[in-house]
Amino acid sequence: MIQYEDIKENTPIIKGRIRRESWGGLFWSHDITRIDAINDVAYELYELCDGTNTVAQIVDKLLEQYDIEEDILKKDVTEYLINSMVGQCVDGIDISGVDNIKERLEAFDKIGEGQRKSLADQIGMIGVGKGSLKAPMKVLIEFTHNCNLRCVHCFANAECKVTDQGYLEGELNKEQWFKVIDTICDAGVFDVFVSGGEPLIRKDIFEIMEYIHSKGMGFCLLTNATYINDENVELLKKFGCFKVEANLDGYNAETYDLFRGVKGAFDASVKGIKACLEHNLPIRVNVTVTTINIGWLKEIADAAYEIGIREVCCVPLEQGGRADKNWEKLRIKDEKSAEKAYKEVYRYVREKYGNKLMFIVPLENLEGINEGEEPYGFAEHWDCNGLMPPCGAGKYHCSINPYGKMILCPTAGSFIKIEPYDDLLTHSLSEIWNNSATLIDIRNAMKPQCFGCKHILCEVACPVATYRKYGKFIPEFGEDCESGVIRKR
Amino acid sequence: MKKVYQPPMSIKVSGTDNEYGLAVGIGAGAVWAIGIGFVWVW
Repeated sequence: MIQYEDIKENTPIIKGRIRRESWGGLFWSHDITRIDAINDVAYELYELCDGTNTVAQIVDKLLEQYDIEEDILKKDVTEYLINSMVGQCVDGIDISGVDNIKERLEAFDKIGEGQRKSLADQIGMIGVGKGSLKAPMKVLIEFTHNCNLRCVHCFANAECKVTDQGYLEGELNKEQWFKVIDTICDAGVFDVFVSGGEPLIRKDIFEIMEYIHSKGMGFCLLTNATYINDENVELLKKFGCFKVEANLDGYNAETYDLFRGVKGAFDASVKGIKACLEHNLPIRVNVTVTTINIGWLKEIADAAYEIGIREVCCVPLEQGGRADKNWEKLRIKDEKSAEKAYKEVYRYVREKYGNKLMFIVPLENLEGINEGEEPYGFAEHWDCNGLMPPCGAGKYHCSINPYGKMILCPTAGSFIKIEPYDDLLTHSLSEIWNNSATLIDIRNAMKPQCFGCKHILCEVACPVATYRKYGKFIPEFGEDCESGVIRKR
Repeated sequence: MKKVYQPPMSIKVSGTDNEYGLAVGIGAGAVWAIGIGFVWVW
């Protein structure tokens, strides 16, 4: 068993970023796909893991700050740093003598019920009430509502115009975006999602990406991939793009172009997707599931695999824009059939491709998918400690429209206005995030019953769905909620 | 005055391997971020 004496001369280095919160802090790393809530001592400890302090020096510095016996602190720091090293949150600790790595990793990932209850009492849900965050963890930016495609389900109702700069009249120019990015960075946001419309239609988008990168933030690019090629994919990597999300709503030119409204879209998108794959830029494709393509999911899975894609995510149709106009034609009304289709394709992919293709379907659980298997619950899997609210909009993320106004999320658009002010050219992001009555209402709408709830498709989980239905963010909770019945969106 | 001590603690609030054991990029969160309300696509 490793003791303090064994590692006291080691120099740990943190492998992610940390941010102070009123209740402790956050650890964030997209290299290892992990976000942790950390307590005050862990925050101070991680802050000292900057490559300049040995473990012995870290202990000395913590002793100056905290009322604790030296031997206890040495033991706690040793244990914590070993676990952090096992969990890949720090580097520089010699764990060659650790023989129970699997157990340590499991314990580091999932806390016990007692610990969870203690945390629930202290801060509750992350991003809500006592667990509120001083700033979003991430921000999605719609850099333009212009697009080169005419998708039938576009909730942004993106336009398709040829302009000198690529973006539309009235949308922010490059210098204005730099100012918005400054306030996002100043607030302590970890990452940005570069979105649109089609963001790559802007002629200045790579300069904007470079600016995001210069501020120490990474970004995920949401794109139809038609503009991606062998040259600019290297620029994306250079400027800190850690992932691309494209689309694959059909399985060939005929079925995809029908969805995307432009002939040649499939070939152009596949070319861009392949450029990402060939240049080792992680990519996933999303499938917006509608009445048109729910019968094609197996074919889409096969096409994705054939192209070289290894991650596919089915997402439900969202209201807004052109989706509203085509709502009755596109919306899947028969939920039971949809559930059956999702389970079938899930089983098909698993049998055919095993662990070579990840295929996510929008179900809360996959109970009964395979005989004898444990029910697979997504909520437990993706938020194993049940500490996050089902939707983070207004709680730990927000979005910004092409005019520099904060919006709840792209589907909320102008439908829900952030009051009393939303303009990021005249107010800082922190000011809006912390003072907006709208955001406070949304955070307050979460009830104790929501804490750790597995019903991630519940209407109350989505502020936009709730607002559309009730005209307010706080619906009346009935007995059904307490008994765990899903309130259908 | 020294601060009250609690053992250092991390609680994973998001991010995981998928059911196949492959690391899921955090970009997966984008879908969730654009409002479908699924914490599992984080």
